[in-house]
Amino acid sequence: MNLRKVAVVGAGMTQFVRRAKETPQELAYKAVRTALDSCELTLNDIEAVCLGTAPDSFDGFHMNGEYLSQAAGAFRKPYMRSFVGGGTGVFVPIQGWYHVASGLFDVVLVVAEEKMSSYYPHAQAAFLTIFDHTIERPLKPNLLWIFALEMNRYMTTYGL
Amino acid sequence: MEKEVAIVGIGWEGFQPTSSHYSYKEMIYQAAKKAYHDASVDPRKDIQSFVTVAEDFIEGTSIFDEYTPDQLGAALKPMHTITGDGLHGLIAAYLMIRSGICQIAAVEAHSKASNVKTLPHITHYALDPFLNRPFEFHPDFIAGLEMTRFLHVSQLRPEDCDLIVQKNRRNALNNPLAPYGCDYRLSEIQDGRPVAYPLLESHIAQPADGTIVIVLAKREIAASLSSKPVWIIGVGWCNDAYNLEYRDWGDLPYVTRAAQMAYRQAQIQTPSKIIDFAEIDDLYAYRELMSLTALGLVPKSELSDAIRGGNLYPQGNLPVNVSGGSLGMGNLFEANGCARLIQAVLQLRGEAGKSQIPSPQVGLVQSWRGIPTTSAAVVVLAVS
Repeated sequence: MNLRKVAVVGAGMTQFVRRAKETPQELAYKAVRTALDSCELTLNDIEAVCLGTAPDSFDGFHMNGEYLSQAAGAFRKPYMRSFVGGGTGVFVPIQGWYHVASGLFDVVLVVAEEKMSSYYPHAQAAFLTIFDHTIERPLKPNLLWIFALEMNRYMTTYGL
Repeated sequence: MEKEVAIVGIGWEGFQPTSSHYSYKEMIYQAAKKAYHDASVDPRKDIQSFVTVAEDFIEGTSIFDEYTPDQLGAALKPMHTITGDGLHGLIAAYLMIRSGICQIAAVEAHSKASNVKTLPHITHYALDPFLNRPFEFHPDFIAGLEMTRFLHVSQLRPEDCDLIVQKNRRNALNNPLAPYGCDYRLSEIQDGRPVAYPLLESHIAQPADGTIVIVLAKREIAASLSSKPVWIIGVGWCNDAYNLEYRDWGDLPYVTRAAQMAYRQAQIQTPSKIIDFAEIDDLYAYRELMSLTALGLVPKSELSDAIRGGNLYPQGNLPVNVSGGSLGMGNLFEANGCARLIQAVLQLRGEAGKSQIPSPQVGLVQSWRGIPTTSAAVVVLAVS
């Protein structure tokens, strides 16, 4: 496979805290600002923006990608939000990679955002809505159910 | 003009205002089956990557991407969701094929609008929580504002928008896929219930259920999969200001930028001379007129003549939404762009039945994600 080589040339992130005082837009802006500064680029150098953020219910927005677009530097630029559930933070750099590897762009900004503390009192309640609405949600499960079931099966299978 | 990636298969299920007899999964399965048959591919053996488009709040399920692989034949395969219009998903698959990471990819978009009971409330949650939500206005109010500004700067009248409704709903009568075909008199359109003056209920596309699956392939193998490959010769997409306060209400700069990107790639200097027909956004009737100008197809000053003189009709110089558009086929949410696209593919293949225009070579498809977004995508298609 003769793929175009793509490099990471700058990075930035906000401080990870239990309850950020910034809005999701402000968090995205801070990370973008830091990343651009780290490689001495400006938004004028950015040709397209890729954004990753998972369940809209955490941030409390329908179309959360649209809400974050301006703060992610996508004003009047090609902009796409990708989503692979819990793997979104790892996938969005892949999305940035295929933007550059396609040959359509040379410089792409990749932004990943999540603000879970907006969900009060705890984001765990939002996870109820990830389950099948007919056969699972009536049981009011949460993520711990999945992990406990999987742990049980894994330990049984391998005699741990 | 680049011919790197082709559409080699399309499949759909729907389209209708309600579909109580089957689930979204069953609808997707039916569309996927048809698309794979059309492209002569086995999803488990031949397709290397899948893209779906969806928004959690519309689906009623968080992390909705987990609910799409099974019915697409995509289990244990590379797959991701783009929370955008179907054209964004198509462009993502196009980029992946161009990158060389895969040779065949499938894109899925669907609408189970009949499951959504409180659409305005959901759309309300897409607004800024501090600046806009507290006013608690109906989302269509934003369209009313935009329509007012556009009519002012373009010197058009609401009657020009009525003609778009009449054209597209009539066009839909010739399209067996369109559930909202109707031979309206103008007076019946003008009697529509005012929603946000001058916007009438009759100017708004009504929700519909439907699913679309599209198979794309790299140039080297496209011809072996399809006797009628339709080439993607240009793509473009763009966002503008999220906040209502920062927008240019009389124009669509994001549509213009998306179109310019696609035209550059397709090496199109004068789109109005090259493009034979257009399938474009008409979720609100005024948006078709607004988009035509933003796409560089009809100058603002000539819009009224274009619609009143018949240029935009199937027999005109620039047939627009011969399928009936969203006004005729329904608002399919994130599947709107793909609905426009399959109609363009059918036209270019010469398979559009009573809607067929004579020997089109180049077609333009454009979508918008709807209120309150400023997100648009453009794809230019051609046959060899």
